[in-house]
Amino acid sequence: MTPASQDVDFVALIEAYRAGDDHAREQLVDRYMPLVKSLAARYSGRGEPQEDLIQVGSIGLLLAIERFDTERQVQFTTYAVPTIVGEIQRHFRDRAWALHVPRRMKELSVRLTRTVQAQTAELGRAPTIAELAEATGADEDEVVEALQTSEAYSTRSLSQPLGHEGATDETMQDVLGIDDRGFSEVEDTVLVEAGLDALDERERRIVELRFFDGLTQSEIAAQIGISQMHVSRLLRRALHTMRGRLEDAMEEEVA
Amino acid sequence: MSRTETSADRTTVEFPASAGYRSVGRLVLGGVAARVELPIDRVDDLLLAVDSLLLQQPAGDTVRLEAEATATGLRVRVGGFKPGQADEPGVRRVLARLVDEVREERDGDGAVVELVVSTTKRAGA
Repeated sequence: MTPASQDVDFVALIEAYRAGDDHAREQLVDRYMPLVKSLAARYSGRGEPQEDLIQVGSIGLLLAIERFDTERQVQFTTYAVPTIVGEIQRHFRDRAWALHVPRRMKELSVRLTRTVQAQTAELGRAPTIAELAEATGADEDEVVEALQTSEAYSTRSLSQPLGHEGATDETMQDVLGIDDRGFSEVEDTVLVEAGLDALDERERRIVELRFFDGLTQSEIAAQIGISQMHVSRLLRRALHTMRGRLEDAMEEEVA
Repeated sequence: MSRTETSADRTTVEFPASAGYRSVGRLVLGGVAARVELPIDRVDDLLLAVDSLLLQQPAGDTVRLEAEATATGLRVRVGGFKPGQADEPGVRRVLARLVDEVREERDGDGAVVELVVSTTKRAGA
């Protein structure tokens, strides 16, 4: 098979999307959504809502669209299927971990979420593990384990609302200090912005606040009205998405 | 299986590079981080940085993770990389924004990445 044997219309859509046409990506998603639904259906009846599996599979499809190289000697579906299935399987692995978290840890995790918010407001910074242990009456090892438990719930937060957004007085350039940091920083900024394009609006806002405006996770949480732990989950997911885009951007830069 | 060695302020653990074992690394790091006065959002940034590094290692490789509580913060060394494997530009840029210091060193035929988080600096600074 040669690259030329790729569906001409598909190649045109990929190229249009990479030239900045988001509508082309929507067309690609529409075209391959039946594939996602078909793959999600294979995993039905295992205790997870079909809609959730389709949502997770859609993330895999988007990753495949981001990363597919039209010069490769394979059809897009050959490349996309393992990516989509991988995301669905990862969802099940995460859920299995979450389901096996002891009830005591889940309860401590809920208490920690509230305590982190209260102590952050009181201290003006995020609390330490020792402070959380003292406030909750748990020992430090239990706090560490329960914070890990919170992370186990990350896949459950995909559809949770972010709450209202606040505003910051600082601009990107104020904080980056582009003029003082030279060309390499400018180059970094361009690459990071390429990664930001791969995120949805909610994720992009949080990444900008963390990495460009230099706000802490706790400050972001206070500014947009969600918990620090939720900010952590969203950052983790956004970085995963950005990583794929940055790799593509660097390959294009080298080419 | 994972293997753990512990001294007074330093813990070393080896485990397979796979999603199922990454939680082992996070628990170890969290435990050592509890020994220093780091706010939890800084701890979480460190965990994000380590996760980004671990994703660079192919499944089946062995990860060597060393966490040390120091007088000024936390030092983490992630080993088991092939030369250049951890130096992927996207990862390097993310790491630089999550921790205070990042450096890569040769370790025999491979490479080790050292991450430093200081208790004297604020997150995001």
